[in-house]
Amino acid sequence: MRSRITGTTVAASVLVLIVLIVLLAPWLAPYPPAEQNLTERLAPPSAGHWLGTDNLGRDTLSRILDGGRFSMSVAALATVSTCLLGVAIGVLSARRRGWVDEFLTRTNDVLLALPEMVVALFVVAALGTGFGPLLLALTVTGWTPFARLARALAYDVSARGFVEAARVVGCRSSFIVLRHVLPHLAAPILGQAALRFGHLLISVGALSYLGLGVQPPQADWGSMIASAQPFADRAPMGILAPGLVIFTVALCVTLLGQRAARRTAPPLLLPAGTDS
Amino acid sequence: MTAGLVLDGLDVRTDSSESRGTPLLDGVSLSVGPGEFVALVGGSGSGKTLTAMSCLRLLPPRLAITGGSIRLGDLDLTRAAEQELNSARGGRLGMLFQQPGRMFNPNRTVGHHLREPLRLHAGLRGVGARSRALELLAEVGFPDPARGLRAYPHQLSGGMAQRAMTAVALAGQPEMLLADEPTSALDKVLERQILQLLDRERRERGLGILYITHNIASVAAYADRVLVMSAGSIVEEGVTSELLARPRNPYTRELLTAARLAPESRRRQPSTEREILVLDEVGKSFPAPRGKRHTALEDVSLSLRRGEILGILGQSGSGKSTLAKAVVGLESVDTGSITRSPDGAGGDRITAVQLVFQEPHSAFDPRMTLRTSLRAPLHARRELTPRERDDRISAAMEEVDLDESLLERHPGQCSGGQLQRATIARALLLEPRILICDEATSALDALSQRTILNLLLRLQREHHLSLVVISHDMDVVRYMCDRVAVILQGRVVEVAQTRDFFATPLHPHSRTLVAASIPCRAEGLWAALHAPGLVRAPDGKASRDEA
Repeated sequence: MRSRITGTTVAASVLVLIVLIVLLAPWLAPYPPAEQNLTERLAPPSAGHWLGTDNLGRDTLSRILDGGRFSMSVAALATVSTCLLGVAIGVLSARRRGWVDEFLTRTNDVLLALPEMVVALFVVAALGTGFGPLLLALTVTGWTPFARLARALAYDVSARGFVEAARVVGCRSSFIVLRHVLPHLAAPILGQAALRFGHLLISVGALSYLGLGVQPPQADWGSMIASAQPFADRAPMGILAPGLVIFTVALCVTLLGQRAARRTAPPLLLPAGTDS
Repeated sequence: MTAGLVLDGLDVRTDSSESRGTPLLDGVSLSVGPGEFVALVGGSGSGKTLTAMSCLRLLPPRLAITGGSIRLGDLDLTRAAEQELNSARGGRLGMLFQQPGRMFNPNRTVGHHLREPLRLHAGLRGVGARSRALELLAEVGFPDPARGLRAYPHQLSGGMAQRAMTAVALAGQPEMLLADEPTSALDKVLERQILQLLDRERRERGLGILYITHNIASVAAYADRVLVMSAGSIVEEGVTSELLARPRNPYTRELLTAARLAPESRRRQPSTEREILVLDEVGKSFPAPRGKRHTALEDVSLSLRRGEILGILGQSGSGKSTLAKAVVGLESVDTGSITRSPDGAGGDRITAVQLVFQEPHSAFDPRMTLRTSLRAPLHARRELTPRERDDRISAAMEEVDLDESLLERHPGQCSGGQLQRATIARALLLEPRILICDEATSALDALSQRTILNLLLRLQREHHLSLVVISHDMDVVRYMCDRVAVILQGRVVEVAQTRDFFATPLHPHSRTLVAASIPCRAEGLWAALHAPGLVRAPDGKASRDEA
């Protein structure tokens, strides 16, 4: 057996490592994440503070470790919820057609036309801040691309011969959706979900920056970048470190998502009509 | 230097790891001279298309030419650089594909598709290109060439699309044309028009044509020489009349027998059994652009008796498939009614009517094994244990002469004929009383076609099924049906007993259809080929005569 180190293996290991470290943050972090030390503000990386400190003298490494739990769990949950909601709406549109489709698709259009942040702001303003409202705000604004994709694919699959065949032999619509439509949706939706995860990771930060996501002193990657921004010239590590972590996680998830999408592609296919 | 296309000992192999070096083409040698019409016939998967694609060096990935040579005049196509190949493709070496609709870019007009070869291969631009394009469209029989230039592919019917494709192929002024089943998606009337068009180009310009087909009738009518291909090699070659009259190779004989769907093989008295399906003034229309409606069916009244085989004949776009979908309940109707078993016996459960599809490959979910697909019809039968279900599936597979091991395969791993039989097995699981065959054999080669037709006839007899055979193929309808209904632009224009219909078609459209089913150039030869006793009828057919 030849062992090969592929991009997938690397991405998976890095992601598992980051997730493990973040989960074990309370035991691994060198300082409590909210501990301020005003005498050591904006310190450069050193033996005591590997990634330096922020403008309140808090240890950047400790805050990245602690903030990761919040950022990643919100982003992951939001990915799952947007995906589920979007696919449900998209498939419903494609299967029911008529006014149901018209209504859902127009709603989708309206949401796409509104800036995401404005809608999120509205939701958070109405429901208050915190984990739950943040998740809801991201879900309300984030389902649209999934719904569009799912609707288009479900339309396509529904017009294929085997769906007609299933209808002729008396299969119910629910059976057709579960056995024929959803499996055909899985691969592209998975790819889309992987892309959206990185996007959501940044959205969490953006909302926190506006004071609508995380409330201080709770750390999260996006708000760390936001609060370090005014001091970028004196302590660039405050932006670089969390930025690099967001980038790495998003990249790994995207790579794994693409890999998974390929794995779920149908087995050996000779395109129809190419015989003879 | 010899002119024309010459293949010498061409080998094509796979280079995939699991089947290293499986030969797909094995020493194929052939030549097509200028002004020659050469037919390449053979069953599905015999390597006909692969031969054509090799000439263009457009092989699918993981296939490679491993030996032999292909020469077009003085150009060695096997060794030519990509640039030389590009100037030959679509230029000196034209190509006509099986599915005209798929070969157009749906976002571009016909005019756009014509401009490209005119610019690249004929050096024409602007006004010159436009007038040449108009000329070409007029030549291929567009009634209004100026409008044709502006048309988008989806606005063309199948026949028009193939004519437009022909114009595109001719625009590059080819000396050699590879025509890969250019007419198998078309009905007989359109087929004849396209082939006559190609034949005229041959006579007038000395175009060499390699015509790939499984349609023996058209070969008899147009080809100078015939090459028979089986499992990647040429097994027999000869002048058309010689080869068709005196085939030497057993495979050739089998092919010719299959092509000879003996007419007048089943004659029965008009059925007096009760009516099992009644269509009463059925109408259906679809929304069309600019608020208009396109009428697909209009006042269609038909009835089907128990155990009867009804043929529905019509050209592409006449509303045949809409009719089939309406009867099985895939499409609702606007006006009129469809009554299944009007006397109430046997219930009118929707699954009593089953459909056999035109495209067997798309009738199965590519992700599922055939076993999973065949379980679907039994899904609602909760009283059955998993064991009983599998037993029924095995029984149905046996009924259609398929090996049970095929159940574990995915559709991509089966041939069209096998899948079509699996479609029939799936329909049989529901114990239908009516089977609708919507062009069930037009995507298959002659051998599989015959097997499927005989299978349908056997099942019809054994299960006392009623069949509705929808087709544009006169031979199929003549072979199978007791009665024939002709449909033209959504209306039934003639219903008659099969024998009467072919002897004296009444409606003008019926006459066109019947006339087109007889090839033009070699009527005598074709009649000779159809004469009884020339080729031994297979057992399936003999038993039909007794019935």
